[in-house]
This record gives sequence, structure tokens and C-alpha cells, in this order.
Amino acid sequence: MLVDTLFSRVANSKVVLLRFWGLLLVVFVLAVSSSAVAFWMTATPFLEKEREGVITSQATRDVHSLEAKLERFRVLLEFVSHAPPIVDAVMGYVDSTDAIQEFVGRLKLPSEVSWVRIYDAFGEELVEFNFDTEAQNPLVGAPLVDLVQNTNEEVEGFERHVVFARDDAGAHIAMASPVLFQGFTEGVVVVGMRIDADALFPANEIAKDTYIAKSSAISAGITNVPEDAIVVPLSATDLSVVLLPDTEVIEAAGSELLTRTVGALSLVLIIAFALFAALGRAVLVEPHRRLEQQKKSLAELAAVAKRANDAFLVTDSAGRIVWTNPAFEKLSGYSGKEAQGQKPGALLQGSDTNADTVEEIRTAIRHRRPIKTEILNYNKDGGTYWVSLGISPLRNEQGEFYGFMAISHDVTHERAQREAILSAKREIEHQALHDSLTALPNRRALDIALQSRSQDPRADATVVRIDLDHFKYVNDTLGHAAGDFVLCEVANILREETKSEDLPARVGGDEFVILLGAGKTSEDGRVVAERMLERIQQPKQFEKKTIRVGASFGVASTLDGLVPIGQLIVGADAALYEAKDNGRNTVCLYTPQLHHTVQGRRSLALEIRRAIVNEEFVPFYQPQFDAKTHEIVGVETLVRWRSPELGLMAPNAFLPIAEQLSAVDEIDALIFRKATREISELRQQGIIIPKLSFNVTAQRVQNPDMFLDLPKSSETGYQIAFEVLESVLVEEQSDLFNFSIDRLRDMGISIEIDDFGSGHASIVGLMHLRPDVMKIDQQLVLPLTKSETIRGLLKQIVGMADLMGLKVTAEGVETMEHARILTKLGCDTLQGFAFAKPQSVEDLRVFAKDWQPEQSALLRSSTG
Amino acid sequence: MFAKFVTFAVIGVFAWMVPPAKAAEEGVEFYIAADFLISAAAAQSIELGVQTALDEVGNALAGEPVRLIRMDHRSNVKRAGRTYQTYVKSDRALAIIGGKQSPPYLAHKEYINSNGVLKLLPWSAAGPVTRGNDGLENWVFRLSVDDAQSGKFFVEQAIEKDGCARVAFFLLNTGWVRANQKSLTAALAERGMKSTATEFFSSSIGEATAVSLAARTKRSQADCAVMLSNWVDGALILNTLHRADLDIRIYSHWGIIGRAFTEHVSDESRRALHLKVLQTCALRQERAGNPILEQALHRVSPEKAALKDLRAATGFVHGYDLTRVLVAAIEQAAPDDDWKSADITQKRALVRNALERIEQPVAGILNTYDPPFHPFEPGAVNAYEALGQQDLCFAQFSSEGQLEDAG
Repeated sequence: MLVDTLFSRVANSKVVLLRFWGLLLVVFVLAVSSSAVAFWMTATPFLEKEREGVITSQATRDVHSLEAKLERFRVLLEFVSHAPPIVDAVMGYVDSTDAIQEFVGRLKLPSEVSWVRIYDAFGEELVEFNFDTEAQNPLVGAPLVDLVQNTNEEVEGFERHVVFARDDAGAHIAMASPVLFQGFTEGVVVVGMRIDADALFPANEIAKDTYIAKSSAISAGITNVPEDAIVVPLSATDLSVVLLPDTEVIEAAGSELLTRTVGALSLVLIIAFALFAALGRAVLVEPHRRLEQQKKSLAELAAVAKRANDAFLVTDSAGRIVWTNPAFEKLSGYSGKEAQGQKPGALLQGSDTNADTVEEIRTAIRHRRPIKTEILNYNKDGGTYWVSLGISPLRNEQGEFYGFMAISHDVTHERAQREAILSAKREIEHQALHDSLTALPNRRALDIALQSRSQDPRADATVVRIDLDHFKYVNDTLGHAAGDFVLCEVANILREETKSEDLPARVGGDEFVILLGAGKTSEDGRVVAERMLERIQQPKQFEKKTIRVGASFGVASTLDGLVPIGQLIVGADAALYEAKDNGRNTVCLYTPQLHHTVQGRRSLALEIRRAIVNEEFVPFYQPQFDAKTHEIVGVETLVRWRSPELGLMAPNAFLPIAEQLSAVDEIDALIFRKATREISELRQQGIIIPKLSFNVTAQRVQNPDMFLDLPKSSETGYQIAFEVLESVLVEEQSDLFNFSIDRLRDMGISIEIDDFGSGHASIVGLMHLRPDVMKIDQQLVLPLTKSETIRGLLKQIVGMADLMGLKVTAEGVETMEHARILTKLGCDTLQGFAFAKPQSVEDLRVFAKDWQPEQSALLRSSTG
Repeated sequence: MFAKFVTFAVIGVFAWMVPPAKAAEEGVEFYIAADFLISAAAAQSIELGVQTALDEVGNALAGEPVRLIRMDHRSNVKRAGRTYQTYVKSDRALAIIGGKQSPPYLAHKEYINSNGVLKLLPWSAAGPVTRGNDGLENWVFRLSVDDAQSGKFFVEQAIEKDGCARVAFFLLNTGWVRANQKSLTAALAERGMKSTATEFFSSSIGEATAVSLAARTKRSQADCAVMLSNWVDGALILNTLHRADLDIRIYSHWGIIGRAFTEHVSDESRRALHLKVLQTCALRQERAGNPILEQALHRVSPEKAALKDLRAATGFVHGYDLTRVLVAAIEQAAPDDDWKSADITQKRALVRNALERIEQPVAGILNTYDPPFHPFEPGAVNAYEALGQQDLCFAQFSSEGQLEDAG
């Protein structure tokens, strides 16, 4: 079955692939096996020759090393045999062998030398040296005698004569050298040595065993050598080196070489065949496979397209329909036959179809670009429907264009839903950015506009800040409907007086901002503002009532180079306040002067923050005196700022800013802490201040934290008094305030009304607060000496206080004249420059120490 | 040593046990124990002298044929020792005639004297050889230069004949020479003199040694020098002295003669240094027309009628004279009744005895020996010396390199 498939003429790509791999495998196996055979046939003789060569060269090397060794012995032997003591001895000139003993003893003989014997011309041994006491000497006997005799008799070839024996200890070789006198042999020196064959011929892969044998014995058949042994004679002696090759190892090496070569060959062939396989597959099999794949894909695609819910439409290169699927027929109402040959645009589009979209599609088709869009189509019955349409150019394998395919599906319903969501979103967005009352953009819209303007670093901006004057009055008097009417009127004015590039916005209750179009200057802003002011000021009729409102304008522009866009509103605010300070209903620009003030204020604010941390605020004390005795009865604590940079500053220089920073409480707390500590210290130094009074705000009185720091009078030893402004009696009469005042009083702190007579305090309020002391404002005290009326008024006030059980303190006592009158009027306590200025604690210490009430009283009486 | 002793003892016993039977029938043998290899010229010259003298008596003595046997010891003392052992064992060897070198005889002197080896020396000059061993009979006779006396001759000739005032010694550093130094120094001392420089040198010196030797000699202001050297070192020293332009007269022992001395030292150098070489007086005799010499030379070869034609002529002259003395002694001893019944050992003793007491003067080339020797007795140190100081002469080299009497 498989065979049939493989060899059938019609074959699918799988079979082709199978054939391809099969053939490849067969050729590969043939190639490898024939290479191996070829290598085997050519390499075997070479390997054998090589093997012989290796063995022979090993043997030759061994021979050379033995020869070298023997040559060294021969040289040594010659040296010894020429030595005068030995010549003298063999010649009989010297009877004793002492000189020989000494000579041989001095020689540095190689370790292999086991003995030395010296014979005379008659073979008689003269002396014998044995160095190797361990090993037996197997050389003694007839061979040695023969050696000596042959040497003595100069038998031909005697120089080659050696005596050789082998035992467990190694190879023993004896060599002889004649002792010559005048060129004639007169004795013999024989050196015996033991050569460690294992060391000289170390075992290796080539030789199983290597040993020394006598050449003559081998040739005579006395010494048997194995058939495969290599025998190499030594040139200078009757010795041979016998090498028994390790045939197994050598053969193993040969077969390993074969294996490796065939392996390497296979590897090379594998690479070559792999390359061939890859190329073959790509060139032969792959196109076949692809063609088949394409066919299959196309068939599948057609099936898919037929069943698909999407409408498919294929045109030729000229754009005429050649094929449609059933979904298309259903959607358009045209049958496939009706559609064929038509142009899709003409068939499906009508008068309401968006012309831009049609143009967009035409352009894409012209450029054979794919396009995805939504378009309104007409069906056969003339009904419309929206489709999501994707058009793709079709290209064949070679990339040649041959038509378009359009896939579409009905999105009419989706589109309707989407439109509804979008309009809802737009509504929400509009609401988010617009004021619902006036329909003007709101603060958020303004912020976004400013934000986007500030993205471009080169962009400029000019804003006009508008605040209605007395709007609260409208609201309060005429009701919110009137207020809303006014706001809408103003919004209309803003809309009418601005250009389309301007952005008028309502940013708060009666606050508006106009962001002018790019390039407009602050001067443009002023012009617009003045125009608006004129219109806003005009009376308006609401429910038959006339309403008048005014407005203050602040204009700031980045083009003036003072502030960046981010700070523009702040600048406009500053200008607006300036306008309000200037009497309202006016327009102010954010000028360099104004900018300077703002900056100064800002840096002062930073300084104040720092000064609080560094505790640079210090208490100053203005003493108060008993009106009759002129003794010091207390001090009023006043704050001063002792700034390292700015010097000593009075409160009016920093308190307004501190109020803006809400830092007054912190300053007060600091002053309180310092003053109580300093007055206590004075007390310890024996300077008694009976009362210490502080100015407190209504807020501070109501701050629960304040109570944490308060000491008790019993602990301090002096009275603490809080001075509350007279205005408090008018403005603050909350429960918390009253509760706090009661609590202070419970703690033994006396309450004094400050600046009494400067405002319009009510008697009721005064009674309600029940203060301990009333301080008369210096505005009432100063004119005292000149105005009889004032004196009368004061007399009444003192009388009223007396009636209410309050003590009276007079401030601003400038002269002793004042003091005298005030005392006479019945004031209890006097405070002013006539007695002492506000001073530091150091000055106070000196002042209090030196103060002599009697003299002062005397002075008063004398001047009085 | 023990082995040697045993060997000698065994040989001795054998010698004693073997009866000297048939000795008379087979004649006697003279051994020539010399170095026929290295010093072949000297040995052969001696042999020629001996043979010539024996020819004169028909190679027969006391009615018995005489045979000369070469015993070549090649200067090997041990081999020479073997010769003595052979001699002792032999029942025919009557006497041993020595060669040029002294060691083979010096080393075995005790053996010779204790075993009755009749030893006759025609060349070796070492003084002690003929002076015997304590407690033993002396068996060594000499007819040659005796170094015990040559020192005196050098000094006498240099100072008295040639008027040398400052004498230096150039001495090869060997035992032989050191022994001679004593007699030289003693001879100078007799005249109240000392050597101005005594220069010892090793064998095979280099040029540098020779130059510094010459420099020292020049500084010593020596006008004469006695030199005891071999030819190689002697030649180098003489050439160096000549190159250094030393005005000095050289008196040399005969050690420099031989081989290629004259090839290495030019005639100019030899003359400039007034080189004289110690000899016995054969050349003078030849010049004087000594008839015995002429006869002897004629017997050797009618064509070769001059000593210069012989190599190492000294050996010939001394060998001839010594053999004549030996022949005379045998002839004197043989008529005795004892001779006929005597074994070889006894004959040796008889000949020794006769040598001490030769009654008839023996005419020789160098001298008429009357008598040649005297009984060796205490005080008679020169008893076995056939020649005395009066028999010594100086020779010089001719321009051709031949020795000639220095007159």
C-alpha cells in the first residue's frame, strides 16, 4: 500500500516529502559506506607502514638513549683509564693503590655505576671499587676475564666488547677500556653499571616491553627473541635493544583512527546532506506543499465566506463585482447574478451617503490601499442601512494586484445606540464646563483653557477679574431671584462685550473672569472692562424694581512680563483688591508697583513663618501705674518682631500679613510663653510686677489649645489679665466665646476691655461680658487737656464703670498734665509715655528697679 | 699484594724444585729486557752492541752456545717483573741486560737482589740501581752514566772548564731529576756556590710557563744553566730562551736526545745557547780513531763505519763494552771446576763473583777496564760502576743535527 503510494505518479506533498527523504537517506548511507570502504582500502597499507615506522622509530629512539648513556660511560671510562695514577699503577711505577683510591674517590660517578675494577697488562686485578652494595654482581666470572683479556690483547673489535647480564635488578653492563702507555695497552679499566631498563625505556603505548640483549647472542640463537620483536643493534657495542611492540594497542589505535575518520567523514557528509536536504526541501518539496496549501486554503476560505454572517464581495481589477456570498445577498437584496458585473458604489450608494466617505473610499481604491470605514448603503428596495466596511486589495503570489474584496456587516442598530450615548456624553461635558445659571463656562472650563494656553511656553494670556459690588445687598434685600437675574444680566453683558476668541467664565457667586484671546494686552483688558463697567452700572429692572449694582475690575497680563500664566489669576485678584481699595466701581491693572507690593507681602509672609520657628517675636512691656501712688501695678504685653534682617518691628508692620497667614495665634502663644517666663524671672530677682496683661483676639479666646499653656495665678504669684477689643462686644458673642471667657475667669484671669470708646460697644454687651477692667481708648484721652467735652464724656464713662464695679485704666497718658486730670477724673490706673514707653524685659528690669513712685507723685503734685 | 706474594712464592718454589738438567747441553741465554716498542732504537742499539761482542766470541761461552732473547717490557715495570720471574724459573738464563729506562730495575731491585738475578745495565743512569739493598747481595752492574756522579761532572765542566759564574738549574719535576738535583747542588756547594735559580717544571709545559721561566732566569743573571728534561719540554725551553735573547750556556743531560729534538730546535738556537749534551766519550774515541770501535763498527756493517750512522749509538757502545766485560767474567769463571757441576743459579753466582774480580784488563771502546768492577763492600758505593766521571764527555749537535764531541 505504502509502496503503491510512494511510486504512484500522482502524489500529494506528504508522499513527495517521503520520497525525498527516502532517497536522501539511501544516498547518504551509500556515500558513508563507500567512503568508509575507500578509506579502509587506501589507509590500511599506509597505517601498517606507519605502525612499523612508529615502532622502529621508538626502537631507534630507545637505542639512541642507550647509546647516549653508554657513550657517557665510555667517555668516563676513557677519562679514568688515562688518569696518571692508574697509568702509574698498571705500569708498576707505583706499588700502592692509594693514589687510585684517592682519584676514584674524587670522581663524581653516575649513579648507575655499580663497580670499577682495574687490571694490569696480565689481567691481574689491581684494585676494585664497589658502589652498589645492594645488587648482586652477575658479571663476574669468565665473561669478565675474557673482556679484560681481549682488551689487553687488543683483540680486533675489542672496543665493542661488553659484558652483559640481566637479572631482577636490571641490565648489568660492563665496559672495558685499555690503559694506554705511549699508545700501547698496559692495563684495563672495567666499569660495571646497572641500568634500570624501566626507567630508560619507559612503558608506553607502542612497546609492551623493551630490553637489552647481546647482539651476538641473538644472532647465535642463544638469546631468543619473539618473532614480532624489533631488534636494533647499538653501533658501538655488542648490544641490541629488543622492543616488543604492543600490537593490541597499536591495532586499537589503528581501528580508532579508522572509526574517527569515518566518523568525521560522516559528519562532513551529514552537513553536506543537511544542506542538500534544506535546499532540496525549499526548492522541490516546499513549492509543491505551498501550492497544495493554497488550494486547500482557497477552498476553505470559499466555504467560510459562504457561511459567514458578514457580506463578502469580490471585484476584478476594474472594480466590477465578480463574486458575492449569501450574506451579501441577504443584506443588499441583490442576488449574486444581479450584482455581478456591477460597480459596488453605483449599486449600493445613494443620495444620503456621505460624500466625504465615498471620496475617501475612492482614493483608497485608486491607490489600492486597504480601507476601513462606515457608510450608508441602499438596498434593492431603496431602504438605507449602515455598514462597517473593510476593503482590501487582492494580490497573487507574485504580489500582482487582481481585484478587491469588501467585507461588511450591518451596523445600523449599533450606530443609533452609539449616537445616543455620544449626545448624552456631550451634554454631560457641557454641564461640567458650564455654569447652569448663566450658561457661561465655569471655573473648570477656565482652568482647562488656561492650562492648555500654558502648554505653549510662548503663549501669552490676559485676564480680567470681575467682582460685583454690593451684590450681597441685592441678594439680601431683593431675594435670590433678583440676584440670579443680576448674574444672568452680567453674563449677557460679558457675552456681548467679548469676541469669539475671548472666554468669559463665572468662577464663583458674583465673580467672573474673562480670558482674552491670544495677543490681547492688559490695555485691551482695561478697555473691555471699562466698557462692561459702564453697562453693569446702568440700572436694571426686575419685577418692576430697579436694581443697581457696580463692579470692580482687576486686569493682569503675561505680556506685562510680571507673572506667568499660572500666577495670572492671583495677579488679577491683587489688581481687583486694589480696585476695591480704591473705592470700587473701577478698573485696576496689575502694575509693576502692585507686583512689588505683592512680592513684598509674600516675602514678608515667608519671613514671618521663619520668625515663628526661630522665635524672633519678643514681648515688650508698657508699665501701668496706680493713679494715686504711681506705683507699678502691672504691665501690658506688646509684641515686637526682632528680625535679624529687618530690625525691630512694631505690630502694624507684620500683623496684617500674620492675620492673612492665620499666624496670629501662634505669635500670641509665643509671646505669652516668653512673657510669663520673663516676668517670673524678674520676680525671682526681686522685681515684683503685680499684673501681666495680654491682648487677645476673640479667635484666640475660643481656641481650646490656649488653655493648655495657661498658668494659674496662684502658681505665678502675679495676676494675668487678657485684654479683649471693644469691637468683640459688638461682633462676637457666641456661646463658645462666652463659655471660654467664663472658663478664663474661673482660672483667675481677669478680663479687660481694650480701646473702650473707639467703637460702638453696647452697654448690654458690656454687662453681658462683665469685664474686670475697662481701658479707655487713647483717642479719648489725648484731646483731654484741650476739650472740656471730652473731660465730661470721660467723667461719665468713669462714673458708669464705677457703677458697674469696673476699674478704669487710661491709655495714651502722654503728659503729667493728662495724668493729673485723669487721676482727678477717677481713673484707677494710668499707662502712657508720660510714665514709660513699651520696653524690653532688660529695660523693664532697670526701670522697675529705679522707679521711685514718691518722686513721681511729688512731680505730679508740683506740676499740678 | 697477597696474591702477588703467593705467585712469587710459588714461582720461587718451582725454581727451587726444577733441576737444572741438560743446562750444559743446551747452552746459556742472555735476556735483553728492554722497551723494544717505545724506546725501540735504544733497545735495538743495545742488542746490536751485545750481539757484536758475542759475535766476536762466536756466540759461545765456556763451550756453550749463547742465545740472546728479547724480553720486551715496554717500560712496564710489571712486565719487567715477569721477565725476572721467567729468568728465575729458567735453567738457561744466565744474565739480563737492561734497557734505557731505570724504573723497571729500580722497582724490582729487591727482587733482583734477593733472587740472584744477574743484571747488567748498559744505559739506565739512575744512581741507586747499583747500590744494592741492605742485607742482600748486590746483583746489578752498570756500564753507563751514573747520575750519582754526573752532577759533579756538570758543575766541574761548567765552572772550571767554561768559566761559568752563575749557574741555574732547569729541572723536570720527576723523581729521577729530583735525585739528581741533590748531586748538582752538592757539587756547587763543594765550590761554595748556590744555583742562582732553580726552575722546576712539569712535563708538557706551555709557552707561558716557558716565557716566565726565561724571564726569571734573565733576572737571575745566570750565565750557565744545567737542564734535566725530556726532549719536548727541553726544546720549548731552549727556543724560548733563544727568543728572549738570553746570553746563557746550556748543559743538558742526555734526556733531550731522541725523536725530533733537532727538528724543533734550530741550529742557530743550539749554537746561540752553546748547547752541550752529556754523553760518554764514544765520540771522542771515534775521533781519536779507537781501533776497537772501528772493529766493532766494521763487524756490524762494513759500510757503516761511523757512530753517526747508528741510531742511539750510546746503546751500541755501552752494550758492546758491557758484553766484553761479561764475556771476560764468564771466561774467567768457566775454567773453574765448580762451573761444570754448577746449576744455573750457581753459575749466576759464579759470574757475579767473577765480575767483581776480573783479573785481566778488558779492552772496550770507552775504556780499557782494569778492572771494570770491584767487590761490593760497605763504602765502595761505586764498586759496580764500570764508568766514572772521567768517562763522561759533552757532545754538541752539528749543523746537520748529528752529535759530535764537544771537545
